[in-house]
Parts: sequence; structure tokens; C-alpha cells
Amino acid sequence: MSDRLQDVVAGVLRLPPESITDDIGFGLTPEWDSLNHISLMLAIEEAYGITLSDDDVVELTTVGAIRSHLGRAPGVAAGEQA
Amino acid sequence: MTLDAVAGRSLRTGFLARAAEQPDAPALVVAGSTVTYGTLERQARVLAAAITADGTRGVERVGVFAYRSVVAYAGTLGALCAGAAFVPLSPKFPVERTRQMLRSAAPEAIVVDKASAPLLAEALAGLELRPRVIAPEPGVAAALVAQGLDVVGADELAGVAPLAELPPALDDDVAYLLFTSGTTGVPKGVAITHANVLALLDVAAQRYALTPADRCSQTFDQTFDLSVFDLFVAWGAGACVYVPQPIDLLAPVRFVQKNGLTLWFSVPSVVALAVKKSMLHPGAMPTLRYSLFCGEPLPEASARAWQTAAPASRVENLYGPTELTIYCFEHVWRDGEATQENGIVSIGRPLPGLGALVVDDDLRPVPDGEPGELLVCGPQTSPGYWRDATKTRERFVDVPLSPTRVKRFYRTGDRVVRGASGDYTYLGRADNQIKVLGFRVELGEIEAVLLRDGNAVQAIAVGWPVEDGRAAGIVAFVTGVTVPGEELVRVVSRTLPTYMVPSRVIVLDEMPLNANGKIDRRALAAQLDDAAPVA
Repeated sequence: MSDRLQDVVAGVLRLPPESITDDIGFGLTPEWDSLNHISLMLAIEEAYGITLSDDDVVELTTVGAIRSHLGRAPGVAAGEQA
Repeated sequence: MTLDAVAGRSLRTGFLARAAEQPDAPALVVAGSTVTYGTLERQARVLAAAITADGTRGVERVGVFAYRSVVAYAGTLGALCAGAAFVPLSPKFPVERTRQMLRSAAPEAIVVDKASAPLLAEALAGLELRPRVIAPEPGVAAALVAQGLDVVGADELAGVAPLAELPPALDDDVAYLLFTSGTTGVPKGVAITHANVLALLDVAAQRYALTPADRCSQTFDQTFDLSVFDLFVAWGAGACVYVPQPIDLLAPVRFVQKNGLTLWFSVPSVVALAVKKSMLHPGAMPTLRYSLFCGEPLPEASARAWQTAAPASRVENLYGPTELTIYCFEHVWRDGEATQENGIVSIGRPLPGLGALVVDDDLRPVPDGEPGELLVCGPQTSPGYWRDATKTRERFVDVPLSPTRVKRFYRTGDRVVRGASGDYTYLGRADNQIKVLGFRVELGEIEAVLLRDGNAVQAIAVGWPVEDGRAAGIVAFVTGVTVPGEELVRVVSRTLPTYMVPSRVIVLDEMPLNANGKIDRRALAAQLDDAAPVA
């Protein structure tokens, strides 16, 4: 079963949720291009009610990195991360 | 026979002059390291010595096969110091495409970085070509030597003295050979001479008057000719070039701020993405003096958003195909200027010294206000396509301007209109070429590969989705195949670079036809969420 972050990423990249692993990322899979990276950042802001800075946009380039960022983000409840 | 030393200039001249004046000044900041003019010059001359066997071997073309690294930049300068043309190759392209470019360019030497060396070995394995391979980083040579290649590795380079006496480069010698998308399914080479590129650099030196205090972006891939502007306009003025990593382009404000850049040059898509993520806060980039955009149409909304974030900078929309050397039209954007109907900033006027005509299908000039194809002539016009006289004749044409005066023009294939003010507006392509995130794509090349490698009976590619009048990707339609579309995506990705690979290939029983019995591209694109095609 897929978790919430997998669903958000899968929705933007138009890939099956089960194919979204922590190690896929910007430039590592053809669907995760520059256009989709920005769309993904916006989708995550909306889904989790947070604001991502310019630094975050440059640093959150894998599902794993996004997952740990959400784990640290204030206001994101533990149950919402997955 | 010895050719007399040439007193004239070539593409390398500006860099070498500044390196002599200010060897300790920074020339390049890439991947966290700063390289001075003196160091970069020394590396270039060492590579030139290795390429030419200490000046005893004449070399005309040198491939540069590297990611954005010091090796790529030193390799480019090394080729020029060897009196050769540089041929940018990309490790990001599929091996088969690299092989096609190598087969066509036939470089006598190739400079390669560590990360790209295995790919180069794979590409050369399928060819008879045996260039000398220069691998400046340690730990690379052995594997290449084992493949039977003539390699100069890091150990050997350590004992090579910088080439003091550089082989001459003449005005009409090729300075670089760039490959662009070709309609027949094979990339085509565009040859640009030293005279072509110096004509543009001289105009740019006057327009921007950069100094050693300037800090300039280097956003364009080296397979893109706009990178030649990034490097040689800055180096000719003694300024420093800052190379972003691909992810940095998604947060351009951060990159400009971090490095205190004074000149930014990119495709407009970078702005569109920054606007989408609300990054362009008023006054966010106070250091910028110049903001230049080229490679695709610049929406007025993007120009305004960027200007607000960089209030002290002059925003310019530049236009030009590779065949006319980097760019050939310029327009300084001003907020409040007359808006084009299509919301796209004007491409302005030809650079000083260039001529332009707007013509009909029979190459007859049309009156101002009427759309037609743009033809351009002047010193920036390429001698033609590499070893392809037929294509050269098709696109580089003699046009009689009076009974006694004939000029050689390049047919851009771009539809424009010249307004009463003398400014030109870009309307779109006259053929099936599109730009995807700034990259030039012949839809015919994708179609040719689907027919050839995918065994399709018919194939049509369209730009989709379309945002702000630009294609953000490609979708293809095919008939006569029994395999699923996903399989065809995999097939074309073996030959085409990522930006040309369709996001989807849709298999149809038959193609929709228009009233003239031709395949109806618009009807096909309408199947994709009612989006209009860019074609």
C-alpha cells in the first residue's frame, strides 16, 4: 500500500504510486524534470500546508529528502507524513 | 610549408589577453572550485600540447565530452589553443546519438572527464574512428588504454609543458561545430567560423561593456551555442563565470544572490518556473545589471516579474538560431511598452551589421505589417551545415536585392512580422520545429526515429503540454504497431536526448485527416486535454 507522500509524488509525475521509492529524484528519473520539480514543490506545499524556501527547492531533490524534511517541518503531524 | 604567424584575432584571443593581464583573477567558479585565469590558461595550453603532440600534429576538430566541470572548460579552451574547432558532446545524450555526432564530426582528439569516460569508450567501440583521448583526471586512462585507445592520461599530462607557440586560427577556420536536431532522424552539424563569432563578440563587448568586476551566469549547456556567449563575452572582459548545477536553475534568485551576479542569461522557462513558485520578490536581485533571455519566446509577464525582482537591471530579449551565431536580434524591454497581441515581447531589430528580410514562400519581400519568413544576412552567417551541401543549399540562399546585388541569406524558418516602428515580432515556426525548454527540436526527427526504430507506419509528434505559448514536452501518435506506447518511448530513448523523448506515445488505429487529406495535427493535439499544438 502506498503512503501519502508517494501518492503526492505519483500524482505529479504521473507514475504508479508503488513505483515511488525514497531514492528516486530530480534528474534520476525522466519524469522528474525541472517543470515537474516545481509542480511537485507546489503540490507538497498544498498537501502539507507548509511553505518551502528557495533553499528547500534546491535541496529537496529526492523522495527521501522530502520525507525527512516533512519529518522536521513544524505543523506536519507524524501521522500526516506517511 | 609554414603558415606565417597570424596577427589577427580568433575566439581564444580575448581570454588569452586577459589571462596575461590578470593571471590571479577568478575566471570560473564551478562545482565549488574557483579557477583563476592563469590556472585555466595553463591547463588549456597543456591540453593543447597533448592534443597536437607538442605542436607537431595538425588537428582540426577536438571533441569535448564532459559534464559541467573544469575539464569541460579547459578542454574547450585547449581545443582553441590547439588551433582546432571544439565540438561539444554530451554525456547526457544516449550513446547512439553521441556515435552519430562522432561519425559526422570525426574529431582527431577528444577531451573527456572521469564521469564520461566509460560512455566515450562505449560510443567509440562501435566506430572505426580512433581519436587521441585526453583524460586529465587521475584513474581514467587505464580502462581506456585497455580498449586499445590512444590515451594521454593524468600521469602523462603532469610531464607535458604548456604549448607556448599556438598554431594559428584563421578567420574562416571553424571555431566550433554544434549539432542540432535534424529532420531526417540524424543530428546535423552547424559550422561557425572565428569571423562569425568575433562579429557577435565585438557587438556584445560594446553593448555590455563588462569589466573584471562583473560576475556572469553560465546557465546554458555546452551543446547549446548560447554557452559560447556565457564564456567568451565574460572572459573577453576579464569577468568571472559562475556555473550553476541543474537544480540551481530552479531557484535562480538564490543563485544570483549567493554569487552576487551582475549578468544573468538564461531561457525564459527559468523565469516561468520561478514565477510559478513565487520566488521573484521585489528587489530580490539588486546586483544584476543585465538580464538576458534567449532560446524561446519571452512572455511579457515573465519580463515584468523578473524586472521587478531585479530593478537595476536591463532586461533584454534576444533571438537567433545557431546558424546565425548565438543571436542576431535584440530588444531592450521596458515596462509599459506597446504590448504585442500574443503577449510575447518583441524580438526587436537586427544587430548592427546584419541585414534582415521578411519574405513570402517565393522569397519575395512582403510589406511591413504582413507576416512572412525571416531571412538574415551578414558576418554572423554560418558557412553552412557540416559536410552537407544539399541541406546548406536549402537553407542558405542567394537573394537578389537589386539587379546588380545579390546577398547570401540564411532562411530561419521562423515566421515574423515587421511593424511600422521597425521592430519585429516572432509569430512561430513555418515548419515543424519547436523549442522544448529552450532546446531546438525538429518534430520530424522524432517521427523519423519512430518510423525507423519503432516500425510505425505513420508517426506524428506534437508539442504538449503548452504553457505560455511554449511546449513543455512532446507527445507522439503512431499507427500500424502492435506494441504498447510505453515500449516505443523506450525505443526512441535509445537514440534521442531526454528533452526529445515523448512523454507518451499513443497508438491509434488511424490518423485523423483534415479537409486537404493531410494528417490533422490539431485534431491529434485536441485529444490531449483540448490543448493546442505548437507546430
